[in-house]
Amino acid sequence: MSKQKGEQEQPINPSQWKLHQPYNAKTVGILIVLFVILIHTGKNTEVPRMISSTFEWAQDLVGLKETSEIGRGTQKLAEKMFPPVISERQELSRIDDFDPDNLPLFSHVEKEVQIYKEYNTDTLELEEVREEKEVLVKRFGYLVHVIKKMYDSLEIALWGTIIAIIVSIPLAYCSSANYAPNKPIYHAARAFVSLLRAVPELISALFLVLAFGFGPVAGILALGFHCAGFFGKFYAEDIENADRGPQDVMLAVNAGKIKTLLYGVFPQVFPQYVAYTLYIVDRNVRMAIVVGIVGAGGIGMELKGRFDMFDYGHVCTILIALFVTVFSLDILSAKIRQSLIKENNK
Amino acid sequence: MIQLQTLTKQYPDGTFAIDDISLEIQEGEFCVLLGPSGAGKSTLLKLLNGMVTPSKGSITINGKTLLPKALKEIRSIISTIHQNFNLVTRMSVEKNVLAGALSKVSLLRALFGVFPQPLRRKACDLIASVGLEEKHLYRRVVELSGGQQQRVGIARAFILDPSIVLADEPVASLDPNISRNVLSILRNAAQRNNTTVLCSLHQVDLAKEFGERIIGVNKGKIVFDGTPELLTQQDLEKIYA
Ligand SMILES: Nc1ncnc2c1ncn2[C@@H]1O[C@H](COP(=O)(O)OP(=O)(O)OP(=O)(O)O)[C@@H](O)[C@H]1O
Ligand SMILES: [Mg+2]
Repeated sequence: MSKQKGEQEQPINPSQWKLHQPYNAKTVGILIVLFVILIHTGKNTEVPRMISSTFEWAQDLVGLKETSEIGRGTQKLAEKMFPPVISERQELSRIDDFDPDNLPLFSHVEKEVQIYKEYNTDTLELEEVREEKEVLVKRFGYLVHVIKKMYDSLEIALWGTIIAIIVSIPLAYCSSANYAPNKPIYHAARAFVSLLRAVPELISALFLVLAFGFGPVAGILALGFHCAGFFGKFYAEDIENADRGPQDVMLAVNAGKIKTLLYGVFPQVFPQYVAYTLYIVDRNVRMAIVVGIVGAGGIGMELKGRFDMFDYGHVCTILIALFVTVFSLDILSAKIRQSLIKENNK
Repeated sequence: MIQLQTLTKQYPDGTFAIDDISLEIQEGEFCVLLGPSGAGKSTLLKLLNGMVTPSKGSITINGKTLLPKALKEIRSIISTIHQNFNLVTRMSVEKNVLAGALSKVSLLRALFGVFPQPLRRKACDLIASVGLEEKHLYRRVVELSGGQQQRVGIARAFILDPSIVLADEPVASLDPNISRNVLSILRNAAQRNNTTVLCSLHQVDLAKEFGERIIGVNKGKIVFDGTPELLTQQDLEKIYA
């Protein structure tokens, strides 16, 4: 039948072949919908203002305009932020057992004159008051403080990662299809792992601060649980994808699931695990800083405090410290990763 | 002794991989399973260590019927050798051999990688007996040649003094000279321990050279069973029909 039909059909002249239109009603419809969404969301998020003020700023920068909103803002901020504060000043009268003959390293005593206006209750007028006080200036006091806080954040990142690994090991075991004790546990573990990943650490830190109080514990737990979600997923996938051969051999000689996992799977997936861990440490350092902002300890908490007190000079020091830390950590983890790859290809 | 009675394995898709086989293998025999691809050799070997469950018939090993509840006990006297070695390539030779004895090592020891000293000595003896040297002990398996890797596989198979070794095409990925070397190492190890070996091969010359007994299989049925001297051209035609 079909052959007959084929015979009857005359070859059509290529000039009459049906061509697909590059655009059809569906494309136009989709474009309209997208356009409406963009207009609507753009209006809500003040995109036009963003564009106009950026444009204004650009004109300002090249000298086409006297001033601009952004230009003024950044200038003001820059003026306030510079120079970065690295010293720490303390009034002598507030130091309990001050010993002028035994000053701490890199510090000296300075006279500070403060002028402020006060309402005089007798004359009922504002009067200028001159107050002179002695302060102890620690030259690098604030810098040292920032470095200490930074170190706290690094510790939070480290312990967050350790907690994540510890929590994720049983989760990975239960959420890998070929090792889970049974189906319900497998599904429960998978759901739990997704849940851990789905809760942003900033949110969980907010609640953990309520539960555990201000300080590093909340930060460690927030990072730990979130990253346990990552590790749980990655570890489980690697376990599932590991070469079955050696595992079957071990299971066939009664090694049992856990020992098989240790000897048949773990050596295979180890390099991958190290790579994940490096990646998570790297991101945890950044996140440890962020969760500090909601009170979970470390440099973030310091940053938030200074920001709220308008101490922009201090903020500047913190930002520089952040940049240096994150940058050097990036270089370090790249180095480790590289040597790992070399080791792998050996 | 291994006894198979009217053993049949039909896979879910309907293929009869093993079709009504009855067979008896004596202790210490070195049996070669000879057959073309798809004959059912792998399936037969998997049936013997319970990796595949029979659809019909029974398997009796040393008087014990292979049933799910006896599986653990039977597996403790069987070990396996594979075509693609199935070693953990990133792990050292020593650990790979010791991994064959995990059932005899406590979980705590396994976790910390502290194997009992006598077991480690035994692993050394075995590694030496398959022709490897001290310098290979802590080498990762990836850094060994194919023939050396399979010798590690043999050492692992013998670590718990199994009474039965099942070898599924142990030399399929090795070149002929090395295949001979590996098979003679396997035969020697088996003779020393009076181990029953069931070894599938697809090379006729190797089967004749190493088998004390050849079992020819084709399409899930036994088409020849006897000593290599009895294997005629006609039998070979039946096997490869
Ligand atoms: N898991 C499975 N599901 C379905 N059919 C299978 C399965 N495993 C094997 N078979 C089929 O069973 C038959 C026997 O396979 P088996 O692997 O035992 O052959 P073999 O003799 O080992 O072959 P080869 O020499 O190629 O390894 C084949 O037809 C194969 O397609
Ligand atoms: Mg096979």
